[in-house]
Amino acid sequence: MKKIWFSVFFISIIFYAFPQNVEFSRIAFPDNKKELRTALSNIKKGDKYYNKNLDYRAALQHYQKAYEFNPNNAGLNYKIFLCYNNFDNKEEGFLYLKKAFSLDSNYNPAINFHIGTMYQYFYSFDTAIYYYEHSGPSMKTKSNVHINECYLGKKMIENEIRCFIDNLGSKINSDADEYNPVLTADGNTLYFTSRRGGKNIDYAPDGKYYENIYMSTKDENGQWQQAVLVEELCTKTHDAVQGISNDGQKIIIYRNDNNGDLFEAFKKGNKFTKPKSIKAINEESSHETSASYSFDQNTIYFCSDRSNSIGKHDIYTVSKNRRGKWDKSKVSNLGNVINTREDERSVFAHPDGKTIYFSSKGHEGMGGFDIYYSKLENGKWSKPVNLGYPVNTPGDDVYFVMSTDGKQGYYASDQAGGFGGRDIYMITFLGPEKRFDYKTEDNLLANAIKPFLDNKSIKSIEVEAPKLTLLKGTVIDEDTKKPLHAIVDLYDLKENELLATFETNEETGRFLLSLPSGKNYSVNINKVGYLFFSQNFDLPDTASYQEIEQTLELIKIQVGKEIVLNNIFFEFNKATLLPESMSELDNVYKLLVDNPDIKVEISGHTDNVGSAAYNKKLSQERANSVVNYLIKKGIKNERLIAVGYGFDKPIAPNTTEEGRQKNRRTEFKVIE
Amino acid sequence: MKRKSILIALFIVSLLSAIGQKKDKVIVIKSDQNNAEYLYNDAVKSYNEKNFSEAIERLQLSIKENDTLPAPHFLLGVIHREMNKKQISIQSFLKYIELSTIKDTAFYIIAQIYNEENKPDSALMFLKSCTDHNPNFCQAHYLKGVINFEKSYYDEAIHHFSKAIEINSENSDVYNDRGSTYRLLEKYEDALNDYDKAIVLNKKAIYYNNRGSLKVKMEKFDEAIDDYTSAIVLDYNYYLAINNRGMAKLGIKDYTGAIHDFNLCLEKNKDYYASISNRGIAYYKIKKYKEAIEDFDYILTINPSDASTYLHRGNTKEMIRDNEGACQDWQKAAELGIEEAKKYIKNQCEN
Repeated sequence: MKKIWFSVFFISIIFYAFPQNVEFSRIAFPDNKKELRTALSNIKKGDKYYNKNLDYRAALQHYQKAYEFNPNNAGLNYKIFLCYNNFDNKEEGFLYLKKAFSLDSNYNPAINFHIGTMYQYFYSFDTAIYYYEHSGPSMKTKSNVHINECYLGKKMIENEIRCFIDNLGSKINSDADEYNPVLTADGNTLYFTSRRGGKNIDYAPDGKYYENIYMSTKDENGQWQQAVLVEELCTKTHDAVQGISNDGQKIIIYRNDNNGDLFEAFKKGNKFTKPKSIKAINEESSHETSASYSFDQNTIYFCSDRSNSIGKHDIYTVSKNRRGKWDKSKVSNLGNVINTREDERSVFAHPDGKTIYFSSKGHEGMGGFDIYYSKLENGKWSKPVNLGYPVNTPGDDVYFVMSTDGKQGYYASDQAGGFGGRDIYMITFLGPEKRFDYKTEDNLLANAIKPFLDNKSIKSIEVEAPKLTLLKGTVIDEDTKKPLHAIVDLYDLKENELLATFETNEETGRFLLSLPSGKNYSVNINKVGYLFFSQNFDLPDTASYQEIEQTLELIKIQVGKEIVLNNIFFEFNKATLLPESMSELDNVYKLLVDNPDIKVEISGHTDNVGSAAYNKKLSQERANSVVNYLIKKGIKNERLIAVGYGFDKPIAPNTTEEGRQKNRRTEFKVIE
Repeated sequence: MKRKSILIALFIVSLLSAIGQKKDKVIVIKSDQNNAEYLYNDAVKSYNEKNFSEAIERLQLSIKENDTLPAPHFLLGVIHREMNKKQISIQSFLKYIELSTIKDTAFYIIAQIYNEENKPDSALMFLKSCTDHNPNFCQAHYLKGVINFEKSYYDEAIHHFSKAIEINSENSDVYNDRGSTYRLLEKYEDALNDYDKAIVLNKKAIYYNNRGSLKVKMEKFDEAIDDYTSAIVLDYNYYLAINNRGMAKLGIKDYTGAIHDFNLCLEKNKDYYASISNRGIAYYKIKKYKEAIEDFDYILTINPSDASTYLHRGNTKEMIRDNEGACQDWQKAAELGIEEAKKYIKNQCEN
């Protein structure tokens, strides 16, 4: 409390040191009529730039000319404050606001409130509360919201989260604004928006260069390389990156069209296609901004201020229809657990498939936009959780993305020590406080000589790492070893449902899948003229984060070539096919339909547990089951041969469970 | 005759003070004109003059004259105990018990000796004999409580402390000790009531300190600080209370105040390493990592196998981005048995 009174007293002294308000009038300047006229003209021009064009820099230039003539006018000082405030130079702006207050504390009914917001922004929460409490009745409701933010801000600072915050460096950041970082799920490619100058880049009406999209990749040492302009995505006006698919093959950008719309582009080789408006999302009269793909790329999360929003901008999703197109009828609001009467912005869907990060002014925070996360649990969004200080500050904290492993976050901030304007920073989360054992002793018994040692521990809470498997692969031709442009289908085996379809990059053959834990997946890679490749990832809810990198060789359909059908499962010690096998069987069926001239052998194999006769019989029956299924589906009997090899053809040592599991398999071989 | 009576009375008073017994039975020696009693009374006089060898000599002569008198055996037991000849002392009390009909005090003293000899089971056996003979022997119940407390039989301890309080509700130490027992059983409200009662009966620094520590456990840090301050006012050199107050200040995130207390504690007892460790943690909290590491380094020079200090130093090195150093320290902490350190290694060192 002492601190507040001291600050208030100190401020009062400063205020009283300023002279009194001087109006722009002939009475005040009887001998400077010409200069007065010029000053008034400058104020008028400044007002025009400010109100009509929203060009705060041009407005400021005119106001400052008037200020040179008369620096002691409360209204002018207030206008200059508003200009600085609008382009985020709050330090400078605050000086003018304080001067306006000292010249005429009643100039504007909101002036106490504005002073409160400035003190709040600079973390002087107690002083801010004082000014909010002295705001006029018209500002009472807003002030009360801010007072709560100040109290919460104090608590959040007391419970600061442990992290390192590092500027991404000069290869990413410049003296202009950089923001909207988005990363591919492997964390190796970064796209961001910058307002830096450059060849053919013009000034926007707000006095800064137009937004453009830049990209950087990590070198072999994990360092970001010099960012380059993504020319094919940029136009003469604003182009800002909003979201990138996990595999980096699709991108969503923002353009100013129709009050602000979202566009989508696809990667062909090393370049993106021409961005196309996402018509299912964009509405003519509303502002669509910020977007993020779900892990399976079947949903886009986006923000819009459309007419049915709960507050200003809300977070929505749009899904694809059966034809794989974004469908306007499948747009839905995330509901009032996420969306408030205030603004929700900059949504990011984590590759874990159930967490979203977003910014909001409406949930409990320490001022401006704060960043929150929420998890989709049993079909419902959990109550948003504030990410805490210092990720969140009293300013606007937006465009936060979390790395796939949950250890790093990226965001833009104008904190001191950067390269100028907003810079992109990486937050390394250190998790909850580590354990410390405090040592304290008491003479618990009145007559005991030795004190009683009482170690007190502050135990850490386990950090919950995202539960997902990041599958990074390159598809190549078995013979030529050249990358292949192939289709990657992701199945939920339990539900026998095709979850998503991806494509490998045309030039590199690379793909990247995020497989959230809690499902039994099949990943099938197909290409016309090749045998498909299937893999099984049975990931229970508890499966922890892992990254798998693979090179997958597709085999051309030729006589003698064979593949393992990794997703065919039987009941234990029986030849009854389990329902989880259906997706794989249907793929075999499709392959046979697409290639009507081939004849195949379906073979059953076992491990070496049990007698040879028993295993031979079991493997033969299992091969028969597969063949019978295909015949029932319509494949001609003469194209299929079922053979049971028992344990005669192991592909791994039978000495380990892992080896035995590999040996228990069904194979598909082209024989004619 | 008058002189003899005075000597006997003096002996009884000194005996009572020797065994710390307040209201229990008094050993009465009837005065006769025989030689044994004269010798005994001379021995009492020598004992009071702290001339133990002369007293023993007189007592042995007295026993030689008449070995059926219990009092000389009792006094022999008392003197040998004071001379730290505990086995002879016990033998003398046992002889006394053989001869006397009033046995409770002797049983109690034997129990005290066994307890001092760190033989709690033998002590408890004699305490049982004591209370069998005299169920209202308050000090015996109290000692049973203390021994059970030390054996970590807290429910038993509470039973005996409660019995002692039933007999004498004015003994503040018993309330304190029962309060401490409740505290270990995490029955904080019961503990608080007992500490309150002890303080009402007798304002001792130790009681305030213990109540302060209880309030820390109850996360009433401001009240804890008040209690520790009261303890320190009563005993300015009570360094444990000063350290504990620093701890309570950590609880209210007054890290600078905590460091001040840890420094004050170390002024009182420069070898109190707990306070150096706590100060290191407080430095960590205010991000003075260099100072924190200096404190942890110092402790490790004194005790190179202090597991928690390796953990603390590792945690601090993490914050100065010395990941290699942090991992080495966590490794050492893990080797010394700290499970959490293994988790830190798994999460942050195995890549």
